[in-house]
Amino acid sequence: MSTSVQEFPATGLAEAKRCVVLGLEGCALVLAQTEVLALESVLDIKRVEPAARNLVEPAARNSVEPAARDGTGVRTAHNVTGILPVAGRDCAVYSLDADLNSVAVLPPRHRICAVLNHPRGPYALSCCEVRMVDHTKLELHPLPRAFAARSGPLRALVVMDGRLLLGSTAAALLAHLAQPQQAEVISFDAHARKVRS
Amino acid sequence: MSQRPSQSTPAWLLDCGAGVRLAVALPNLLHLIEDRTLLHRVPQVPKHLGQVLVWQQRVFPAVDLTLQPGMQPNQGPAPGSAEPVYVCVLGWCDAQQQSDYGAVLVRALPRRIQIPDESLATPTHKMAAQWAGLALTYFDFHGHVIPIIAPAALFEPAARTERAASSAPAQRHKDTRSA
Repeated sequence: MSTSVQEFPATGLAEAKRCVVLGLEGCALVLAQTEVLALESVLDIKRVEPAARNLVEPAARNSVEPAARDGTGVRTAHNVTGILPVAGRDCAVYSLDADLNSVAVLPPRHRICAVLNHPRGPYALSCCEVRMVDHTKLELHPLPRAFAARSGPLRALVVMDGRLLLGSTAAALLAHLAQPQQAEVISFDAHARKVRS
Repeated sequence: MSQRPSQSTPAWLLDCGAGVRLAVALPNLLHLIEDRTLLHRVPQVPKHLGQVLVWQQRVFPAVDLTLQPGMQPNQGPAPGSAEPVYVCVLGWCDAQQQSDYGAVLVRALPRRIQIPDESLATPTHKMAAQWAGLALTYFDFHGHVIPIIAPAALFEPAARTERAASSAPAQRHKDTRSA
């Protein structure tokens, strides 16, 4: 759909003048507008066969495994929903559920893809809706210290009109998306035992 | 010979549901909120901390102790589902003497109690492990051993880890019931 992509230096939420709210099913993410390169329809997504997901790696995955590429030159991963052609190049499309866990199949209510900027190449996140909001309408709050040990892609908590939004960045999201979904849950007690031993 | 009068300490007894009860010092309980719409779900964080309280232009972590790993609630309704829910806003001073806040979800109105010195109790090994790093001490309340907790440790993993590490040898020494 779009023919060119203009890249801006990515900024954090705190410095952003405008932000983008990505509505998912049951929650909403908010990122700096400069991290969103383009918006595309989910109708343009090319499906990835399940077998292909096991063969290739995402562009930005920090992995020691040798990266492989599929026939289109696009790196994909287990968590990838599909491939989206953007400005002459393909990028991986990811989808998240209400718990921000990756899903392999595009959720039926997701209609639009936000193409996000990343130093190792753009990637897309499917969502139900996308809204641009002025920074002045958002109240940014740092993550509580209670979340220091584990907070996934969250970088801030944002309140808009009494609603809680989840502040993130394109880099934090991709790091989260590239991870296996079964994260190890360590209780405080187990952690304390490790520290003591 | 005059006998030393029995001393007691006022506290709030909080019922978190599913048999999980704790006490906090009187000054730690700042406010009680009934409006559950102020609670918002946060994904990708520890399950027992999966909600925050948006209140007074601030965002506070809200802990549901019935969902905390290792707590193993053993009575009443299923963990995390018991109704009604009240939100207790707790306040304390952190290590830098700065005010800090957090919320605890409870299933009954807090009850003000007096804790006599002679009611201090020793927990079982299992209970001591469950509340390691959280409990300052324990007391006997009508036959049940209840922990008095340090609010900061509920919300700061570092504080809890540090407290657990420093109190473990002392706890092992004190605990004689299950030996």
